[in-house]
Amino acid sequence: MFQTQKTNIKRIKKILIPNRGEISLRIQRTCRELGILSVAVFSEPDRQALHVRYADEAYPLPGSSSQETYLNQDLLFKIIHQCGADAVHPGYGFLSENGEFAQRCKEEGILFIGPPPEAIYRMGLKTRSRELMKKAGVPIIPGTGVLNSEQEAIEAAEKIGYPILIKASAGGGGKGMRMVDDPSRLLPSYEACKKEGLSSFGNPDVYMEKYLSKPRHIEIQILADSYGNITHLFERECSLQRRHQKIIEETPSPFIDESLRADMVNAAIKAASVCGYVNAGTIEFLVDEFRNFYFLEMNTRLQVEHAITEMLTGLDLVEKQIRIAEGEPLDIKNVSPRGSVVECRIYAEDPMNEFLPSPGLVKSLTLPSGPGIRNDSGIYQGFTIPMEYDPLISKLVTWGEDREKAVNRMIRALQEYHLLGIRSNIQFLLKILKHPGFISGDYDTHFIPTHLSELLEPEPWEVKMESVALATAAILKMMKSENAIPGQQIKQSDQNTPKIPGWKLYGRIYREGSIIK
Amino acid sequence: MKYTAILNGKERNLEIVKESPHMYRVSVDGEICLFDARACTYDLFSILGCDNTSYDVAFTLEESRTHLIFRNNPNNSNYSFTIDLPDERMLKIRRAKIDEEKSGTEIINTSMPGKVISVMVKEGQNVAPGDVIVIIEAMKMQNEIRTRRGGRVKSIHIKEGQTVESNAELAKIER
Repeated sequence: MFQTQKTNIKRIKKILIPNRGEISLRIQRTCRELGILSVAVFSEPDRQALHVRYADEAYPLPGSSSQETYLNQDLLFKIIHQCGADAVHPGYGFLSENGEFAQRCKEEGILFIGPPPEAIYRMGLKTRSRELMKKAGVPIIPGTGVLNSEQEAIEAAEKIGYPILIKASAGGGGKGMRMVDDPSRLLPSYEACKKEGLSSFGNPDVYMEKYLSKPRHIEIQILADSYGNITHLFERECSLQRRHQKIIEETPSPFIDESLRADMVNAAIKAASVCGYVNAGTIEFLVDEFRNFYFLEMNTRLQVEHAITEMLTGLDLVEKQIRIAEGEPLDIKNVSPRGSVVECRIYAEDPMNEFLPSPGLVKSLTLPSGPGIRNDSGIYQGFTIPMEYDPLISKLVTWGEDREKAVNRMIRALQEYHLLGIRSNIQFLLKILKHPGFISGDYDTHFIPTHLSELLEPEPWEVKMESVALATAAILKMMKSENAIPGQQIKQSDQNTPKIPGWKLYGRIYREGSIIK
Repeated sequence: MKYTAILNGKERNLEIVKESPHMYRVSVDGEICLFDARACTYDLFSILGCDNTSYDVAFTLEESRTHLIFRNNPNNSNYSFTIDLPDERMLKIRRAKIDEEKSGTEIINTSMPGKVISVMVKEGQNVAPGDVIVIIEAMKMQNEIRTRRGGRVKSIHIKEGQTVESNAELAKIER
């Protein structure tokens, strides 16, 4: 079925990753397995980050704002040429969906491990991608193109039927979006949305869509090579979100059946095909309670949650991306999904305090281990999580023979995950996983806002634990005063020992020995 | 030994007696239990409680603050605690602060560490309940810190551009 021409294959020797944190590390790990050198870049606050320590080479991006550092194309290209990288893997976020950057790579003779710039442009603007999908016969949510007048908005809303959504053309991440369920609120919302589009995204264009009740967010992973071969790697269920931020993902989706899956997969392949897509990409769909599905958007990059697809299929998506970029045809035949996979995103945030970010020093860290567990993270014990970047600190993935086993394993893994020094959402994740609505699999994107107060209640046992915790603190205090804690007394004497740099000492022994005379 | 501990803003009375090399009798607000406690590493600790429940505890010790996580429990949960064991001097300061608050001074602090983006008020200015006093940013999120009760800005303890730790005192508002 696949074409197998092997001409035009250009092996990559060195990859620069203009990104940070866990995703930079994730890409570097595959590079190392493939014998490819990896080059990291870092902003001032990231100097001690794991992605810098792990890399073969690392170059500074002076400053701390994203514009000065990870988005600084001029400086990045200077480093790319200086270090002799022949390819760039953008990861997710930052420059990953920037068509101009992909174009510039092409012009400067650097392989961009991702889609061609034209495909990024085609799928980048929502109104543009909607038009393209409509033509290709991929179902889109009933709606309009850019609205040109108030009158047009009124007529469109009548035609689609309330409730409707007004959305900013250039919007994303839940911003520039308004639900209207009453005709009297239409015009004020229309105006507000235009204003927000202009102030947040520099574009006042808005369009209208039908508002779906009980929507689920389900996406299809695809891989496309340079020869027109496209394959899919099943779906990812991403309906558990808080403020449009995914928190828990799973595959297979507990909601869709074989025939719906087949229809969605076909639509996804069609979508990738009409935009001339090459490399790994994701087509996001909204699925309503009646199992109608609609194209939402295409992510023209590797997704944060790609690891669950890897656990389900046994494939390494970064490796596939690299091989496709090198010009290899897809060689995937008969991929069969195995078992069930869950991912939890661990954030440095405080659920008990309005989910405010909690950057800072990781004083103690113990990671879960044992059967069926994968942890992708960019932190370590002793690392200070910088306040400049988003609060994702770890992606914990568990595999199980079936959904119930994968979920129980996740609960066990989260219980083993210990983080001291900063706040995290681990307790909150556990509450979701134990909630009957999650266990039944019958949930939609409104699950977290609907059940929020329930999910924030402390478990009753926690109150009983207080006495044990207080007693423990007293025992520790007494033990410390008696110097009975290993390691803690060493720290104290450490402060009084003059520091002699190791290499100096070594040099002295070397000179005094018989090797150099 | 007697200690005053603070957990979730409440003072608790602890009394501890070492019975034998690893056995500790601890009273928490009068409730007594005997523990077999061993330090395993510099941040791990194993305790057997009255009913032989095994507690595996990860901890970090600061000057007067202890952070604990109970690693094993039948509830499959992940319990963490921050407990303060202040000395006499710190306890006095804390009590004085509570008295100050009772007498009408509101202490504005931040539960989120971050960078001070802007200070919205000046010393001596009158503010209404709900007014924004300071904006702090961390991890691309801005947090507006407001006064609950309003009044007159008595003092401001931070500057724009400064980074602050969590629980830092930002300002005081008096009635």
